[in-house]
Amino acid sequence: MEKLSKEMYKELENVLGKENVSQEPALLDGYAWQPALNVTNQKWISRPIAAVLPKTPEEVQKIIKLCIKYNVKMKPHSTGWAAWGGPSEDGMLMVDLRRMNRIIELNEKDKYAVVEPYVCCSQLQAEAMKKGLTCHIIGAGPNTSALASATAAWGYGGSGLSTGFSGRNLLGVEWVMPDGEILRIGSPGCDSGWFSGDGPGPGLRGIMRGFAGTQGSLGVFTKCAVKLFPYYAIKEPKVKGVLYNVRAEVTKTEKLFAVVAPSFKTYADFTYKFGTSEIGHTIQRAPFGAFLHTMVPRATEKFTGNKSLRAMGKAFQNMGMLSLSSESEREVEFQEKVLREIVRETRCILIDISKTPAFKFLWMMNHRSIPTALTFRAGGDFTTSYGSPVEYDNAMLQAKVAQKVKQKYIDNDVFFDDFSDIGWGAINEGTATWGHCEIAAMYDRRDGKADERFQYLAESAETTVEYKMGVGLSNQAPGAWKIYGPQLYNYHLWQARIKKEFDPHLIGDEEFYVPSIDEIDEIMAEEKK
Amino acid sequence: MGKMEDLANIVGKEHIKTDKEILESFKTSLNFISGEVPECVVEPQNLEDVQNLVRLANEKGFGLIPCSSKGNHIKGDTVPSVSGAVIVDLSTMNKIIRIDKRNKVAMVEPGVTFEELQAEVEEQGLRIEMPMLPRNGKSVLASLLDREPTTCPKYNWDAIDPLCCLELIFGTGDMFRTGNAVGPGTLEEQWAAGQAQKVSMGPAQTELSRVIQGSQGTMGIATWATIKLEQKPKIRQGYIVGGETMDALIPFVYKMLWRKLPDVCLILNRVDLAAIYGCDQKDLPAWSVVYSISGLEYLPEERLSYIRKDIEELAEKFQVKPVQHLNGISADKLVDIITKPCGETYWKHKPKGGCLDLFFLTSLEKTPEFITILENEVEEQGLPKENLGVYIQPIRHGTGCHLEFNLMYGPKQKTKAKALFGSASQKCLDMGGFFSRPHGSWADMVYKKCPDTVRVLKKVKHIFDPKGIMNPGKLCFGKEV
Repeated sequence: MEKLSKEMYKELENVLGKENVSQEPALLDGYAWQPALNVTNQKWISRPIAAVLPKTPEEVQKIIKLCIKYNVKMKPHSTGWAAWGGPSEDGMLMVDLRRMNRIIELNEKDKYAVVEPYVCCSQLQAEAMKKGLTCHIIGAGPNTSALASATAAWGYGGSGLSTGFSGRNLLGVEWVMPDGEILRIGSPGCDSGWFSGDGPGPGLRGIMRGFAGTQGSLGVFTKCAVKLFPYYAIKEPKVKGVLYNVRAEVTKTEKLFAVVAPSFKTYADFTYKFGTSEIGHTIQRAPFGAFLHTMVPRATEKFTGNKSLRAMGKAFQNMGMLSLSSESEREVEFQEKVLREIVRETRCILIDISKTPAFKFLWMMNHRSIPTALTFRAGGDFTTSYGSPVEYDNAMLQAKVAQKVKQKYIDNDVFFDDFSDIGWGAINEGTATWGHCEIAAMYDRRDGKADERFQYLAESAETTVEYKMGVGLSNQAPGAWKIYGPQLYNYHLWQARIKKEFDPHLIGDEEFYVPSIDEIDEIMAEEKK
Repeated sequence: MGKMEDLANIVGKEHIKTDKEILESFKTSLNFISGEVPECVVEPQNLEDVQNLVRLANEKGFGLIPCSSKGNHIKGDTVPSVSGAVIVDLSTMNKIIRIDKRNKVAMVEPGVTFEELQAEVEEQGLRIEMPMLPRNGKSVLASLLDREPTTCPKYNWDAIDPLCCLELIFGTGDMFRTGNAVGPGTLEEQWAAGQAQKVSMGPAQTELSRVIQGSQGTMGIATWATIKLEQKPKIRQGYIVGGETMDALIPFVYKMLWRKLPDVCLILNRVDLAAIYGCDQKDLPAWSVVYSISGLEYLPEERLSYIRKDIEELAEKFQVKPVQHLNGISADKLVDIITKPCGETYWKHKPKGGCLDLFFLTSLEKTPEFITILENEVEEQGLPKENLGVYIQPIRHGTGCHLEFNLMYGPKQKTKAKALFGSASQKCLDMGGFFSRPHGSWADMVYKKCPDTVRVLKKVKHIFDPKGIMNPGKLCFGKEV
């Protein structure tokens, strides 16, 4: 097994203390076990060469300088959800940020929080709720780092209608750059507090992350401020039970509905009207097949085999779950009236879940962003595809196209039969009408069909281009820039120049970003061969 | 071939201006920034012209200064810092390329003004999120690129809003499209597939609209932009809440924003309110919260009614009183005025003839501290307090605010106003005001405070404009081309 040089190990111990450096294989395997969004036949990725646990940005800075000195690549890790949270190749140093776990500031009036990397969304949300606020939680769930999804990764959230998208909720940032220098972006850089992330002058957030985040390729983010959003329900609700048996206290100004549309087009029409009318707290497409598969996967396998039941289930394909929320009864009454008017106009079906026994459980699940974790239940694994951030008509086009593509793989037993539609997503940011539709696919990797799964991802990427559906999750795979860069105004060359300027010693894991401009030509020539 | 001949080959002789009067007009700006006289003004007509100009500037080594708005320039970013520079006047590229009603987006060339765009979008039942009372001739694209605050904080999710995507030529001469506009597919193909270039993020791990925004023309030249629009209300009501102090007004505004109830929401002192409405200051309260509520497509009257009642309840709690008429001012008319472009004479110039704007970002809660500083400074300089306008604009749902002091001055007060502007700017910066848009003389003062940011901005400049041809000498960048 490859090990760090004794000299580097010693220097790391001097910086961090012996207890915060390790190259114990059993411990390192913890970082290498990454089943999420990993479609290979095994749940393991590369094992890091060693792991370090810094406590401060200055310690992170010293680690980076040692990586430069000893020419060792590094990979930062906050809560580390999914395969890109670990090293992409052997020999990398794992910079585990779990000791940086403080909510430094929670500003109730200006509605933002300053957090360190290991503050997970559930912690932040629980503290924010006490002040009548909540945070954006990505679909991966409340266990994920609020900082990671805002600074370095992507992820849509079930409450995007009222809480936006992580990358757009970012304010001030503290960034230990790959050259070992510390930069504070925005207002904290001018000692003006954490409330603003753009300027003075050009917005460096545009270099730092874009849509997808650089997944650790451009250094380590050690603090950031994220916007918080109004939360009108009980500040510290009493909750009983776990998961399916959860019963949360809910006020009467919280309402939950299911809406069912007869077609993709009608579902899009409903969504546009819903957003533009400025009602609603959350909205989320929840196709019936997906709903069943996450809730009762074993029963669903039997259900899908029955033609009549299947036809009934398919009729509920364009189903969405939406909530209304306010401090004011008047407002919720008005919103419900408008909702019913839109439903009537678009000829959809509305089911008032607030009046069913499932309400207190589904409300909590919706509020905490729990459903994605349940996607593991059917076969132990899932992957995702399509899902570019686009206008909602295009998002529905993605659901339609994906349905056909995925069905072939369901027919060949590569994926579980979910009626070929786990297209979740919705509009974000209130009236904005942009959103996403992300197509999940569930499988059991013990079937050994990694090649077919890769083939599906390739096909989903090809159809993304064919049907003009934006650069989304299907186009983020390692090396995707080789295909898409030349088609998209050579964006990869601009990123490669950024890589060279910002990471001159190439210590950042570039797998989910691009190599430096100096290497690109060589790689492209090799590709042509 | 000479430079002028090369330029003529690109844009045509008829699109090159060398009249002394025109060139001299670029030498100074209304905020007392003075620089060099440009060599000429060129008017490109399309993307190709712009690209060829940038390529020529790289080849021959001269500076280019993009300029999109018409009329007097105020902030100084189009005043050449170096000799031999060429002004790229984009005001004749003024097509509204597309308005997408369903997705609420417009695509505009640099020369489109707020007056022009507003007329078009209103016909479609939409409206623009625009700065308060933009001056006549102000380019929509220039305003977007300058990150100017808009009047409805609830629609302002992120600092980049309402800017979406850009088509541009970088300082290297390369053409690029940012955000979703990058593709796959041509614009026409994207439109046919339901897209409207509304998302600024991307492609992949970049968001270069954000880098171009705030760069004062130092990274490249934009040839169109898409702008996020909102639905035009079916009915709207304006309200004013007056107060002699801001003690109760600020918590009231915070609470209204938390509930996302008002559309327009801002605070003015009596000086600015009088200047905008055209009335006498002495009849007005020291501070006024100005807000509007609206009824949209569905049940507009009912919407208006519940919002009005909810706000009334909040107002009672904070012991403030929203009214529709205040000492001769109609709140409806006031909201109408501030959500339209200004007429011929800029409102800030009406009272005294001149005005210097000192603005920065801060927290709404901190605004009284800054106001006290400015009031003291005005007194020290011996200027009347009736010359100090204050405009507070909550931004990004209220996570911060734009605080703007309008130092109005008459012909004899010019020197004092200038001195006040310099000393007050430094004091506000020292007190933690965040000068996110460091125009003119602020640049040196602001960038001294953040050397790490300067180091990184220079890397960015090196990527997108390695020869330094784009607006040399601005922000923290050198004058050398």
